[in-house]
Amino acid sequence: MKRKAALFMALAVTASLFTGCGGNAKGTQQAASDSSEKTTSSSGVTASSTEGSGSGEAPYVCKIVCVGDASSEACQEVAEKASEITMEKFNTKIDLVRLGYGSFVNEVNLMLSSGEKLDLIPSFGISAMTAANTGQILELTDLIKEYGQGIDEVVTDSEWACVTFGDGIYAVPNNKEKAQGFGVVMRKDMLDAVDYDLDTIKTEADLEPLFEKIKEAYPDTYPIVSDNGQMGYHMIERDDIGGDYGVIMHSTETDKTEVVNYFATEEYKDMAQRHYEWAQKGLIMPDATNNTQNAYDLIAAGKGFAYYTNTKPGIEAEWGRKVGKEMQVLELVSPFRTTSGVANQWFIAHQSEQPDKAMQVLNEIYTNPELSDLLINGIEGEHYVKDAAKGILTYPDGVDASNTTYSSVAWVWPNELISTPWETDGAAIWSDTDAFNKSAKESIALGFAWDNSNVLNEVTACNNVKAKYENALNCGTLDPEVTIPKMLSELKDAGVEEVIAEKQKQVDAWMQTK
Amino acid sequence: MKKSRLKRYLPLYLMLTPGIIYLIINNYMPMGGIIVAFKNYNYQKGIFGSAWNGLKNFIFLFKTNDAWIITRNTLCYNLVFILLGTVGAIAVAVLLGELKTKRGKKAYQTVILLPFLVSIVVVSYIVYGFLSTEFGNVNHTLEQMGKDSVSWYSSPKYWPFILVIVNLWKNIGYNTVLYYATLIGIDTSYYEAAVVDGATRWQRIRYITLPSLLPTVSILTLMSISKIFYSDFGLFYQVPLNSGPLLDVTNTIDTYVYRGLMVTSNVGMSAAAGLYQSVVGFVLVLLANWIVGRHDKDSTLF
Repeated sequence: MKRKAALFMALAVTASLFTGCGGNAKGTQQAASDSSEKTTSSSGVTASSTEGSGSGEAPYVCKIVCVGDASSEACQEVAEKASEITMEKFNTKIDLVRLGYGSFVNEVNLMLSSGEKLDLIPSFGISAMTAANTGQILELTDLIKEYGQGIDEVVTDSEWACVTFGDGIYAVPNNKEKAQGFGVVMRKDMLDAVDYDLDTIKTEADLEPLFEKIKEAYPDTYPIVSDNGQMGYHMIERDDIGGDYGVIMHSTETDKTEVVNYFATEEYKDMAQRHYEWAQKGLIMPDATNNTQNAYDLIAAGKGFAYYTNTKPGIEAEWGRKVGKEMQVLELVSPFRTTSGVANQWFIAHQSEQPDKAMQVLNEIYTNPELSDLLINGIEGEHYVKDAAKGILTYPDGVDASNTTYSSVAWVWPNELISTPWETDGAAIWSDTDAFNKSAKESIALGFAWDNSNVLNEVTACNNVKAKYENALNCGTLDPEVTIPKMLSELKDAGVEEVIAEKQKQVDAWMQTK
Repeated sequence: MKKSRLKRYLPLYLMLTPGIIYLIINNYMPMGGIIVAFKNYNYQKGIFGSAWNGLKNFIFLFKTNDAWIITRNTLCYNLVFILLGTVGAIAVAVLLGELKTKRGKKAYQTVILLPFLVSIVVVSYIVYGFLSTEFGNVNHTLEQMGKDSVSWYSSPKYWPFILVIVNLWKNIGYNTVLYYATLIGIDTSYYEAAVVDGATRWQRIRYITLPSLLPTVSILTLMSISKIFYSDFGLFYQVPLNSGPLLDVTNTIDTYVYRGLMVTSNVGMSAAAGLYQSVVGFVLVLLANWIVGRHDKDSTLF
């Protein structure tokens, strides 16, 4: 009797565990098949849409993940307003998430790997070519023909060429400034206080006396800071011809298309040496490579005086908005155009259930000023107020760059040129941008799109070497006399020469067809 | 005979089934994903649809000496952790056992266990508090003593020691509790008899306490060896603040795979590194078990 009772108990326990496990098993299988094969999810959607077709289709939700600081409540508000526009036209709702600059790439990569719901993403930190080769993003050629006419009217053929990999277009280039210069951005109040003649500064090296003066006047401020452990902008004119390894130096002045290793150039060595000396003198913040804060936060807090920046019309105002103080930009490398000039793009993620709707939404953002204004600048009255007569925006009372719940970062959005400019930029900013694009010098390799699929192993191995040294060299943490030779020999072991040879081959072949 | 045995153990088998099912679903079925290591993974085509790639994904691992460095780091750090961790934990447990006041025992136990409960991210900032070049305690003390301050986060030579100390500080409490539990289970009459025979305190520890702890030591050590090829991700990624110059001494297999997947988003290559980790780990477990088995059959895991 007792044994029977025990058996019964055991059975009961097992059975209850079983049901729990059964549910789980289904969940994992579902998740597995969702991420591995899209067929299940897409067939599910078609099923539900045919179901609903009798009484009007169930609306599709287009999930946009963009970069920049914003509260989730503000994003939801913006998404609701934007949905009003898209529901009417395409029976599609918008779901908006904005991620911080530091975490965007990691989180989006996770979303792409896990197959989590995602439709539209900007290219911020994600290489279109890698994403296209690994199938993270969809080919858009046909979608653009069918649903993206508005975009096609704005984007030129040579710009399409920059985002064409193999036979297909994989990205939609943002309509924004398409050239870039480099310079240094500084706190205006501190600059005025030390009263320095900026005309004497022509190259990066000329900054040193200014930085010395700043350090003297503000002992608690670092003359130059890093941005999340990086110092990405170098005051050197070069075309990185699609990224990875191999650049063309002084690409606007040369008529040769010789691809060289950037880290082996004299220019890079000079820069690293200078930064190293500056770090020794305390002109660069200590532990710059380990810094996990944004440069503009450090500058706003008075911990930093300057950071390197790209230059374009309105750049001073953009920094001013981020820092919350008046900023001055000094351009050291004049603007030039390369393939990377169209490096800001938008993708449709591979897991998008209805790419046609996603493209319709993207086209609408590209062409509808009302929708673009909403997504870029937030809600009127809450995040900005509009001066209709002058056609400019300002912050509402009590709101500024430091406390707004929806930060305005126009350039990451598809078409900033149709949005309303901010007062700080001036009403003429977008016509200035147009002029800027037209006046910039062109790189000899403009329009060349690099394909690394033949040398992927080498590129990955090189990336691991770069991760070890690049930031530390840029920030002046390591002595370049010792480190650069070490880095170069490790890069060589990792196969950087094969990568550069492959790139040279592709560039040469492209030059033939040009 | 056989039938009656099955009947007798049936309840036990039934109780085993949920566990087995769990293992199959959670640990065995995902093993199919190993094939990703041999594929040119494409997100749209999925695991089974992607094209085969042969051993190409493994090339990048062995192209540079990264494979050697991450293997060496993972193994050597874990060996040191196991060795020092065991010795340290036993020493602390024995000392705790010698304490007479109940209050003191409780207080010490709590203080020693506390770091184990702190999140590794918090630990990384505590370490940063010590080692920050400008505001760190250590550099401050060095300056007070008239010595030059050290840029800790770009000097790899110090990090093996820093990591070992941090790991000991964080994990010693947990093992101490395990050993202490065994220790208070030792029959007090042994000690009383030893005292009557005139044994000194050291002799009592040497001849009674330590031999009684041996079975626990053997099981805990074997269990750590089975995980010797897996590193504490937080310790090696968060505590050095992901600093590039330190990678030669802080890169372990786990952090390498993480960086590979996050920066280059290449699933196939990361899977290849993961497979390498599993295979070598498996071999090591077999080896350790075999060595233990030669000395004492009962102490082996299987």
